[in-house]
Amino acid sequence: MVGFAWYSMGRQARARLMTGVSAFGSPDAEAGLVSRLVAGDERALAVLFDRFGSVAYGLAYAITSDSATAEAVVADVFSQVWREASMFPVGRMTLLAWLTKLVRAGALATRRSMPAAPAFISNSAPGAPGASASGAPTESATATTPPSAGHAESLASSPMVIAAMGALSDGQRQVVELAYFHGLTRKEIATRLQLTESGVAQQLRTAVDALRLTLMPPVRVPQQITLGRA
Amino acid sequence: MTHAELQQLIPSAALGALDAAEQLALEQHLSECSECRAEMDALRNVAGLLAWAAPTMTPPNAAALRQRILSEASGTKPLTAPRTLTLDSGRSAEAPTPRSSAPVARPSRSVPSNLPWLAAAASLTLAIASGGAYLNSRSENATLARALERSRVDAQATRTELASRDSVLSAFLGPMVHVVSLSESEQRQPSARIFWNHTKNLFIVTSFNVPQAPKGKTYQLWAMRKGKAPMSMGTFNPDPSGRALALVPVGTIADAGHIDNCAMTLEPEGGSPQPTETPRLMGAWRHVD
Repeated sequence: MVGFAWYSMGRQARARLMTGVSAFGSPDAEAGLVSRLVAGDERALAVLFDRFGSVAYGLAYAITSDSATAEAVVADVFSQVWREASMFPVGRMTLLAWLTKLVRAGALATRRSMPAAPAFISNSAPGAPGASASGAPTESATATTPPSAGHAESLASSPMVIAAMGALSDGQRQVVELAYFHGLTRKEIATRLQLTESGVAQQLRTAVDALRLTLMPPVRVPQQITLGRA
Repeated sequence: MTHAELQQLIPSAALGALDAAEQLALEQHLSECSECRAEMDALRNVAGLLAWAAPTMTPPNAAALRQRILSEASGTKPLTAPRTLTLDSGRSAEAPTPRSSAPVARPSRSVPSNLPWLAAAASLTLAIASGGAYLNSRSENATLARALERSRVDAQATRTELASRDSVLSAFLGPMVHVVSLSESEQRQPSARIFWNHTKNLFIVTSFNVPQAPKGKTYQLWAMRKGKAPMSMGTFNPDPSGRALALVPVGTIADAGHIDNCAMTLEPEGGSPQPTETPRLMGAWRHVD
């Protein structure tokens, strides 16, 4: 299985990034944007696309491995968001979570309908694309950014997530990838990895806990966050 | 399952890793447990961030894609409220209808998937309300018309399509319209609604977010009465956007007034005499007026 080799980054690089952890958009700002969408303000849709278009496309591409398909998924999702902005659960979900949920679902559905489901390719891994998730974070690894991460927002955000993924154990990272990017259920993951289902469940749980702690720390958590192997 | 066991499902659910039965059990629990709902919301937001773990890429034709999205948007207007299309007589519009559960089959398949829609869709509710006040304002009327207009139209069939829309619209607008609403609590879940126009004696079936049936298959609707075999209400296939609109003469259903439940299954092309799988969508008729 292909992994995200660029998760690997030095502890220092990670620590540097983590000090900058902040919200990915204030709830008020999101609510404001949503109400503009609901009101039919097309500029709000442009703002939304400029903010999340790249990450939406990146996710769709990671799942479908086809740029035209990924673009179609993204176009569909933004159209849906435009039409159904009034259904956005303000205060419960971030816009990013809503968008990516739709993109993931659309991309996985499209992938299923493809004649041959493409292998999942985390195409940006520096080094061999076949480099597996076996590359544990090492001190010597240099921080790398994905290619084409041209948008300032992407640069601001993705390294933190990549770092958080890199801080997971190999096993945790693998189950997270199989679930989120491949759309496999726990049972399917267990079969594929020859693990017990409860083992997979446990891995997913600890992985999500670790990601949550890193990416969405409790408000009153001490400033210093030590990123360790979960 | 106990609260503790269901709570344990939440992280997997956030990553979309539950199978249909697990997802269904959790969804039902979430509708009753605010603690778990809050946890689910939080972890969903964490999962949302995982998109940033994929290589962030600018689409090759970012400007064109942006333009495409914006120009498509300028041709449509957002729904003013999600329930505009649901029957709202002013009296009966209160509140989420109670969820009824239905067993859900997870079809075997070779391509990995998690069919989140399927599980989520298992909870459906139906409501019937009198339709006199269905469209209680011009703006709702306009919204409905726009919603219909958004259906994708084959250019060649435009005329036929428009004529058929007119008839559908007039069916919606009839003075005696009952509606069965198979509604959802979250966006992007498949749903279907069945309107019953008593004057025209028609069922008007709409679907949203229902994936297109695989080749050689079709969706089939069933009217069910306790103690009786399900009666086919006909087959339909949504367009690529997941929407479908179909008219079914009520006359084909014996004793329609006593239908207890409606269900949707996936059947071989042409439909089956009886359902061959556990319903994907199901809900009970409920009189609310």
